[in-house]
Amino acid sequence: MPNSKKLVEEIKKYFEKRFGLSRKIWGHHIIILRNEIGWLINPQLYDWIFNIGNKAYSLGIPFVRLLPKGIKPTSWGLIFMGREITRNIIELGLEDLRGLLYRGRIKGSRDIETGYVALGYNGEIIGCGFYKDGVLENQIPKARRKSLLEILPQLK
Amino acid sequence: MERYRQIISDWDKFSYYCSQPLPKTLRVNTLKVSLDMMEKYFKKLGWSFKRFDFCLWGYEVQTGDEISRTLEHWLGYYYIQEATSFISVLALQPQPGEKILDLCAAPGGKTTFIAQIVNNKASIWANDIGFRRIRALMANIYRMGAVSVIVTGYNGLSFPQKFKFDKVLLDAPCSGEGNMRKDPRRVKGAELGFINNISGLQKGLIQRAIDVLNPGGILVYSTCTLAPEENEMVIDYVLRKRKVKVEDIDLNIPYSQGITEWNGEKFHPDLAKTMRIYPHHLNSGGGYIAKLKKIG
Ligand SMILES: C[S@@+](CC[C@H](N)C(=O)[O-])C[C@H]1O[C@@H](n2cnc3c(N)ncnc32)[C@H](O)[C@@H]1O
Repeated sequence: MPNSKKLVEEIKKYFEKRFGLSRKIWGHHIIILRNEIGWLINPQLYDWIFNIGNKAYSLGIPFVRLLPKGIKPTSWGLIFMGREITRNIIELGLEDLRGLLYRGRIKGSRDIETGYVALGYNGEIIGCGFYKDGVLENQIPKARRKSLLEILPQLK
Repeated sequence: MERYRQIISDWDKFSYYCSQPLPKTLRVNTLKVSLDMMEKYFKKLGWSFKRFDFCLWGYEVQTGDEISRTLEHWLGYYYIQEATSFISVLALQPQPGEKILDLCAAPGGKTTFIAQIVNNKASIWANDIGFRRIRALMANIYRMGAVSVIVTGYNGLSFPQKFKFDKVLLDAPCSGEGNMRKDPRRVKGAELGFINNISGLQKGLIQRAIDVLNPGGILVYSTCTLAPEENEMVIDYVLRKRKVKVEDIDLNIPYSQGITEWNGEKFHPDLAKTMRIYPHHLNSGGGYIAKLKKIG
């Protein structure tokens, strides 16, 4: 991938600025760019990754998607970082969460800059959203959204 | 199952447990949550719980709830897992820094357990041939936060030999007789034709598993079946085909020794070091575990 070093640095800066991730995280994890995904891996996997070519379906966990319009955090990545995230978390109540999962978006003005946000519920990070002009959009992927919907009745 | 009456000494206990529902058991994922914290969650959920005697991370819980339907499960704080399926990973004794292959890994119960034991500080390679099962494997790896795992879809019989490992887990495809408590149709035992067929695949897989081990490396072979053709006979075969020896499994759990004779055929005496787990041993499913060392 062209300019991969620069891009990885950009991803790290983005997470620092947008989600308040500490630089220390990168002492234990590295980001590898493959197939339009930035994968979060343990540095010990590095050797294999360079010998395996494109035969691997998955490397560590998918951390960001590299879209033409920029970096998009994955829900898996945000959940993995969990309590390390300190900024741009939108805490949802049960009704908001239900609305977001069923309708894909909810309205409500918040003091947050346009961009991706971490969705919080009950003190846990549960995935990714996108906030713009008073509208919060769900970014949790379909299968995960479905399984979360299934447990909604159990949530209090 | 009747054909196993001759090798299962406590047959009445065995039969009784086969007919009982399985307890609800799980593994707390300490990559994501501490045991103290999880016990608080259990209390919050109104579940009573008991830790396994033989493993810190294993719990039996009592609740009317469906334990797969909680936010904590969705977030990867625990993995629903039978007691028997802890054993092969504990026998493998994964260590930080090692290169470990899980040759038949989907849906990932054992892969993610290995990642947990080494606290994501080893290089773990999870492989499986089933495309749909690999999707479940990946979802479980992500859910459990196992950043130390890569996933491939090779046929295990032709797994590339240029990669070498310190440890290999071969949790082989099998007739699944040990799952009789989950699926009562299995109580009558598997068809012999099927058993013999799959035994051929197991013999092929175990040879490749040994071929990708470093000298001195460890292989754990496990199944969830009781059929000697898929268990001791596979190990007996590979002891003749490859330079390996059977190792003791150093775990403090109830089990029955591997058999050294079946239907008049005698096996290598070291097969007594392998483990047969019956449903009454751990109040779980049945299975088999052998630990081999590649001679350098
Ligand atoms: C007993 S299951 C593995 C369970 C898994 N270890 C776990 O704990 O979640 C056996 C697996 O072997 C896989 N398998 C069957 N034939 C295979 C082959 N030739 N190469 C690789 N994997 C194979 C199946 O797709 C299946 O997922």
